[in-house]
Amino acid sequence: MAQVDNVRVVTELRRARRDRRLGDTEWFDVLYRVYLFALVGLIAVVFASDNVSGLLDDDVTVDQFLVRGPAVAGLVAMLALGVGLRNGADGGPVSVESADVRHLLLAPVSRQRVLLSPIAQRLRSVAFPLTLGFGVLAQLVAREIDASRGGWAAGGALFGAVVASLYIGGAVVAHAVRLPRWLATIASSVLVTWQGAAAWDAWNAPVYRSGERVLTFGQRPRFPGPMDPIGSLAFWGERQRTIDVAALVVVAALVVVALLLGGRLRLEPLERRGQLVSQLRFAATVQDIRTVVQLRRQLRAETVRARPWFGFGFGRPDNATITPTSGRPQSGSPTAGALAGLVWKRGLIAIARLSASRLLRIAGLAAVAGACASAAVTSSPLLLIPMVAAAFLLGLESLEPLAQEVDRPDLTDSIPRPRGWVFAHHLVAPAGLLAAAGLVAAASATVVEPAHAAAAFALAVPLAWAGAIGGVVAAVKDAPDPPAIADTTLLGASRGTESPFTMPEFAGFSSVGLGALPVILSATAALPVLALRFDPTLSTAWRSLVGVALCLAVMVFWVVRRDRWGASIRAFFAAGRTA
Amino acid sequence: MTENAIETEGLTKRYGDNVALAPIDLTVPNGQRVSVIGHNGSGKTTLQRMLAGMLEPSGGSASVAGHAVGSIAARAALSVLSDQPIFYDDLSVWQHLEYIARLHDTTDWEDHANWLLDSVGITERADDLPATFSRGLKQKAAIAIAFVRPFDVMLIDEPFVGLDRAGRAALLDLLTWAHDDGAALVVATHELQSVTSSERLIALRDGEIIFDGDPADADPDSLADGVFDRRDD
Repeated sequence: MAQVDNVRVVTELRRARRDRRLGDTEWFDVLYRVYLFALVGLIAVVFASDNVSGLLDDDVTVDQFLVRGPAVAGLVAMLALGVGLRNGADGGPVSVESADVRHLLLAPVSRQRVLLSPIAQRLRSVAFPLTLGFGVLAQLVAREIDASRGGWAAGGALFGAVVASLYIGGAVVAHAVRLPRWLATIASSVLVTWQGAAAWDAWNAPVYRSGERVLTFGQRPRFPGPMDPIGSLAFWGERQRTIDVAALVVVAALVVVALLLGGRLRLEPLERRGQLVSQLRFAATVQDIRTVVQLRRQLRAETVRARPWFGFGFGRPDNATITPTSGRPQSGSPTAGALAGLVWKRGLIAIARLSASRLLRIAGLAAVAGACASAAVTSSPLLLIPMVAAAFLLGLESLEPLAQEVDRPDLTDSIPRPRGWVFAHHLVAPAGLLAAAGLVAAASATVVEPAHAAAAFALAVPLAWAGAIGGVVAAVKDAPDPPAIADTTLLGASRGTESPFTMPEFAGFSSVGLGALPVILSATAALPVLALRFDPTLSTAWRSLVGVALCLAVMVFWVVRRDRWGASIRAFFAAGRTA
Repeated sequence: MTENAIETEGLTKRYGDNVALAPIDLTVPNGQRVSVIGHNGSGKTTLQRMLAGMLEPSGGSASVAGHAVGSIAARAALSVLSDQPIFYDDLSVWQHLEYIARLHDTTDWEDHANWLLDSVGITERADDLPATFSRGLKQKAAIAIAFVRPFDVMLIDEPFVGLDRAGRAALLDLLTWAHDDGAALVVATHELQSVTSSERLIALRDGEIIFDGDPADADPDSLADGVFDRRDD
């Protein structure tokens, strides 16, 4: 049949293109990157291993782990499946070249055969970091409870691979069967809630009574969760159960079904995602974190609400009449206060149009940041890392009005005020949203440790603002320079004449440093938490707030004065050259 | 082979509350040349993308050459020339032609490809990467690619955008050549000459068909504006 020949043509072309790509590859560069990744990874694991002490209570036992762990790990697996279902309903998780969609998937070739490779590739790309990450995490836990580190690492890695399979398998099947978004949301919510309840039940299950073990794994389930057997795989380093193999078989079957249904994926999302992914790769290459986050939102098909949550009188009045105007509109003289009001209002409209999923994500990030902050005070300082990451992402998610303005410099320049002034006023609406997120973080911190309630509510809002410093800097530094200084570097030299040559070592470090700068600045939010680790009193909390307030003031001052400072520095160097 | 190149029954596309295309029943016989006109947002591209299988309908069904849209047989019969040409970054024009032609088991594709390149005037650029071309040259490369493979039906969306005078003439000649050879053509366009060369005119407004008949019944001035008004006389 002709199809068989056509598949051969596809294979030939793919092989030819791959060979050409491999021929163009700078192998030394690739090896150097692998070496750097391995070195940095190893240092991180060793550092984490040395600082993990305190992550778990000293009296925690293997028995408690085996009773409580599977349901909690099962919650992670269920979240992966739930996110996968949502992702599939939104057209994920696979993306192929736009040209493949246009030329290959519209040709008389078996789509299932054509899409087999992209689906497998996606599975591999998700499975690798999860396998590695869970393997390392399990190894750290084994170190804490004096168990076999090799066995636990292998169990963790297996669990990571299964989580990846659930995510990709669930997403592909949901996409292929055209699962409606609302149904995916309901199904995910029900399943995650079910597993969450099982995890809560297991977490609070008594393991010992009067020193005697009353509960062992397998005897507990007062409220079993559907993902308990899959969660149990993470603990295969300690003990293996035959029943868990059934879970593995189910997951493997899901992956096989996904591969078989691959030919039913919709072309429209494949084409859209193909274009977005190529932009995403470029943004990641140039370390443009803000664009990466923005493109990931588009990949999830996340759009602003057509109807805002609440209105601000910016809509067209229902009873508007149409009358011809006699001439061009005349300009008034708007005061700075009136303009500021308009900018604030525009910011509030942006917030009012945020989608429900984005608001939920903001609340989730706030909850994670709050929980990690609270736990970091009493246990391992390593928890400050996810706290800062969550606070930074929270900032990026909340700065929509500023991001919209930065991305449209022509519109910004049409406002009769300096650009820095406009940007600074666009921080007002996000500050309100972050304040609400701060309260969520405080509540979360209180749940983790009720004794932290007072400090949490005192610090949460300023810390949410401090966490956004990195996001603000990332957004504002992306704004194009004003035309008067756009053609010169900060040192006043013409961009065209300045030598592009930079020592590779210096270029590498400065590039990484500039990329990481926003996250480092957001780490300001971790400083008061760190202070509380040493002196957990309310007075320490209040004192540390002064430092945070100063950092925020410097940030706002920089936003307002950035262009002016840029011009002054250039003028200074230009004067030096003339002299 | 069935008698109809395209058949739709209640074909609909909705985006939430917005109706992009109201239920449409449409039959295009084999070998017919059809022009589709309408203002921006009238549903021309939506209709074409659904017939190509690029967009899932919200309701109804469609077939191409008697086969369900998106099926392998339908894909074998249908060629699509989009208003936004898309190419592989690492394939030259000639490599694109070879790939597409071989995917469709085209016999003697090299002679045909050379003729097409000459027709649209890009023979000299055959070994260049089309992804680096200007808008007009990209469109010319896309035209050659769309015509290099066998087809019974061709869907063409705003094909004249970005083309110079020679390119427009070449495309009109190719459309006539394909039509004379028995292919059905459905062209969404505002190009007056293409519309008047059609045997049938379909006018869309707000996702609904407001006219389906002889192009001679349409007011030429309105056609020049890309919309439909009935001729007064």
